Amino acid sequence: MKNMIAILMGVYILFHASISNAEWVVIVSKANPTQTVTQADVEKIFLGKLKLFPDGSSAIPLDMPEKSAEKSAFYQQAVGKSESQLRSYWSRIIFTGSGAPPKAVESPADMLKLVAENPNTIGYIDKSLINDSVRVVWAAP
Amino acid sequence: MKSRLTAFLLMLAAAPLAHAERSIEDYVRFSGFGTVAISNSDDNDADYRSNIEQSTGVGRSNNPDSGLDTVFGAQVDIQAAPQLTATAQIISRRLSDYDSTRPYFEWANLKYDFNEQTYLRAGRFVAPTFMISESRMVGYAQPAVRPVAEVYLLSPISYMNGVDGGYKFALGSALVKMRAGIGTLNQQINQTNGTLNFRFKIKSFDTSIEHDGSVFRLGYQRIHMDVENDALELYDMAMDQLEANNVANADSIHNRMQRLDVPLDFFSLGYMYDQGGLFVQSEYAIRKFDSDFVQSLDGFSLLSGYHFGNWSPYVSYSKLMHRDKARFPALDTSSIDPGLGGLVTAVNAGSQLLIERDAWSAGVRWDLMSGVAFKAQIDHIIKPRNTVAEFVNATDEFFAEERSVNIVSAAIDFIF
Repeated sequence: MKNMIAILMGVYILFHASISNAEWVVIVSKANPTQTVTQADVEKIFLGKLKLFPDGSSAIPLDMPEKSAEKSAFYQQAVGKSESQLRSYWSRIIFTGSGAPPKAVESPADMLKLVAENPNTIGYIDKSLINDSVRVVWAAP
Repeated sequence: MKSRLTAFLLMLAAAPLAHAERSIEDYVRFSGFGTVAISNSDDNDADYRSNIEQSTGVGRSNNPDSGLDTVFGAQVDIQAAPQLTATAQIISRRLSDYDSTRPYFEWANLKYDFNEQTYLRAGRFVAPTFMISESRMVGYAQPAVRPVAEVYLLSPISYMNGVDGGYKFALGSALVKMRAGIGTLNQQINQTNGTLNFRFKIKSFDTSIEHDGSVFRLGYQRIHMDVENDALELYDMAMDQLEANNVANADSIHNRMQRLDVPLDFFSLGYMYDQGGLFVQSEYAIRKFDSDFVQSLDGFSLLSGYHFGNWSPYVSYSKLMHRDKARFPALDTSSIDPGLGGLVTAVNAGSQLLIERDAWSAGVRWDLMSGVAFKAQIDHIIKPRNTVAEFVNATDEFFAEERSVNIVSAAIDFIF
């Protein structure tokens, strides 16, 4: 029992270390003509301020699951907001009828699949998990 | 209005039937927020209130007081069609109706998004008078326990019934938003001298530029106001009597107490910053009345703090300033009927009314878990002599003396 707890804790720590060391990239479908976006575009799209690709077409952002380590690590790196700052931000948007947060996917694999299949979506993922169905348009510094 | 709201809600309830094939979460979203707070004042001679609609506050009427900042809100958003959203929000908080917390609709509107950049909205929505007017009741969205009172109590207008439209676009890496609206509001405010029935016709315009953590905002409202009150009718009779007795200046004073179709302007210039650790909110607001019935006041606030992980301490300084305070001429008492002496004294005292105060605040927000924040705050308010300084239910001593009042508050904000 003790060993099991130790192993679980080890897995937990490893998992968390890998999340915070991950390199986050923003991805679109290969069928989307967008080659690159700026940090300002990433902020506008994922914070729901102006959901447009640089060419003016509609962008639908997708999120990792609520309270997931992936989500908080991405927002910390991409827009400099902690989970509570992000929730505070969205509460201001929601309760003034100004919009809603991005829809959440279930897993990184789900993110890859949905983005690859839907050219107007935009998502984020750990760089080590990308495949050739998607294009990286921005990388966290 | 009630029946129209009911019809609106029935329509909202019926709307989802059109989308039976999608799951309910795709088009209906319920959410809510609230603040449970308690405040204590070290001065029992007057009530400190957090907005101008409240007729009691912490101090003389309640001390400690759980009603000053406590608020509950529930919202439903329905995606009735791909570009059409219906939003209804019910609020319960202390209003002017002597401690009533009867729920009411703060928002109830239909919004049509022509595209990502342009919308048109009709129904009830919060008047965007000041920088954070629209989210001022969502404690979880704010750094402090309450919006800075020295700015936010300038306006008695919460929501308006009407239409507005907005347009936003990218300007380089900045975001520019513009919005214009028109609407009306019938508002009842109960005070010690009776019920004031206000009718407001509102035209509103605001624009903001966001760039790199900074938001600059400019807001303007032109309002035409009517107000009715029994005590004011007595005032009119008294002034008519003074005018009939040829008391010098009585007619000019009376003429300056216009209460029908009075133009009223609100200007607000705001700046917000929140990026990395540092956050700042600053605003200068002007209330300008073309009548002496309501004073022309300016409010200023500067709040700043720092996010240390889940702890966000802040300090603020704010000031309420009285403009044009010398515009009232005093009544000339040289040739007066002795029987009118008391009335003249009362009018002259009214003409010296001053509404000024300074406030320093310090507090901390602690995000203790996802969706829940705890805040503690102390406000130190300094008021000069001969003013109630937007406190209410004040004693004569409180009015006459220079005072400094300390309010200590604790609040738990939550969203779900």
